[in-house]
Amino acid sequence: MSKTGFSKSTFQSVLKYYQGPSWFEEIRKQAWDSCCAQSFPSQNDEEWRRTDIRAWDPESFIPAALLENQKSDRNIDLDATSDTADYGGVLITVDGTPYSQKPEHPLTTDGIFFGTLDQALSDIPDRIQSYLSAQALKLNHDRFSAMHTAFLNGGTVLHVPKGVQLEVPLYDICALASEHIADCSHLLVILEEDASATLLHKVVSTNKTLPGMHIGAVDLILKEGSKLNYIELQNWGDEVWNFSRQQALLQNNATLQWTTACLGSYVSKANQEIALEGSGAVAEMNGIMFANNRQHLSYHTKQHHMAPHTQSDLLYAGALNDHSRSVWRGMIRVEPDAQKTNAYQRNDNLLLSEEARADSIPGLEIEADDVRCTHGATAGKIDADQIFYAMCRGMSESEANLMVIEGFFGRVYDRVTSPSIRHQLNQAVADKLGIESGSEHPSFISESTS
Amino acid sequence: MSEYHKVTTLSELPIGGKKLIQLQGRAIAVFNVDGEFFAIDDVCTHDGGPLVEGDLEGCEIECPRHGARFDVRTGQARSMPAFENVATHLVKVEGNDLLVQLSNT
Repeated sequence: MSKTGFSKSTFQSVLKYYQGPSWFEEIRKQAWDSCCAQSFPSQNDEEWRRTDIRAWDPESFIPAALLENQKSDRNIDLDATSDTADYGGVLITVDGTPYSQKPEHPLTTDGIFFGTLDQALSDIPDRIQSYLSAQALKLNHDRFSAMHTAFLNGGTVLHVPKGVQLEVPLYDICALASEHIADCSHLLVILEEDASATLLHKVVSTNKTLPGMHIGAVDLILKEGSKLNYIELQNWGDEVWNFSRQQALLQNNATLQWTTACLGSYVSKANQEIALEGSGAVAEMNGIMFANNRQHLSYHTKQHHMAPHTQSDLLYAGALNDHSRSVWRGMIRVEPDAQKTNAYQRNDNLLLSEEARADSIPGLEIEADDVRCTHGATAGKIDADQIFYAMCRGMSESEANLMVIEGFFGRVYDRVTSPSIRHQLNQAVADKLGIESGSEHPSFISESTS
Repeated sequence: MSEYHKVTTLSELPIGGKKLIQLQGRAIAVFNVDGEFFAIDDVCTHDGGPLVEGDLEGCEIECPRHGARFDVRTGQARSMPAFENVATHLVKVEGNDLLVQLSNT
């Protein structure tokens, strides 16, 4: 029986291998029906006008849900394992299979759960069932969402009980190590009232040349008064197709800082939505996009203000080299009851080559009459005067260019409060810039807390 | 890499014909203009429209989105709203097969 593709027969195989609760199996089946009822988007759909996926062939990939469980002593070369000392917990999944987990038991004495989706379905189903059944999976959003749910191969769950403050950040890694794998994993974070946590979620290919695919979803649920710092570091290989739907729901007085670093993949198409459902909720969305060669990075963000006295602030900085392309479509939507909303969005783009292109499209849909909503979008090359000035001070042209690029991203780094996470972001961008660690090239990003 | 790949057969590309092919993750449009064959990126440089879905008149293809026209022989943008040329690729014929080599651009 063929193991590739997303056909009825591969779906039947997924159901046969699956060993979770029956209510979750029902969700899968509904998702499969939804998948069959929808077609893939075409270039005539507004969201896909500027993202060409005609060369994408889903039938050539193996759903990770069909892979036999790999042995846990598999020797995977993951650089990440060397810098995990600063984290309170580390969870690593490779090709959809759990690889390593510290601490070993997902449930702590404080009642915090940090483990795989399968462990959560087994150990704490009551805490997550309502989210997985209702909000979290949004079956009918589009065919990608339906495929994600039907072929779900696991994921990570973080649940922090009421009033618990997690001081030390947690680290979750989802890796692709084999070729032609389609990973459909889910990240679910639930912070109960007045809880707080910091989570770094890294998605990475162990080998940059491996073809692969990811249809992922992220759900961040922040109850009243909770606070979450969430950082995603996307560093897939150069041949990976990446589709992701990400959303955050904030209740009264919840606070979210959401930082995205998008460095990898061949084509990335991500929808990121923040719904400020409760009064006093505050959200900050930060993004770094750095593309080269023929990469195409497409991010559609939405700041949805549904209640009064809510704030959101989005800053996405993109640098584009070679023939790469970025698309940023930002929407701020304010509902009629969301008076005293204060919302801001800004996308800045640095074009490092003649052929690079950035499409930057902010938007506002405002239905309340006492709000403050502003947006800005810029695109330009490195200022030649700045380079001249730096070279007059003894720098080479390439050193001067690198300093400007690091400074360009520095405004986003400065918003990240965790030093270890800021270091990871800095290092990932430096790797892409071709700066070797330990080289004499100075890093111009301050490591001290701002 | 820099080598020729078979993308279609001549019988599928009569005179005045056009076809979309996928090569190494890229969408490429191939054309038959009076018995000569040409290949360009199937992405309008104005707004990313699929050129192959437009009308081919002589040696010019018109983007279906906003009407930009390109000379498929050279990639030259011939009308607004496009002003940037589209990338062209090398083409050769072997028997009944059409082969394309992607250019480095």
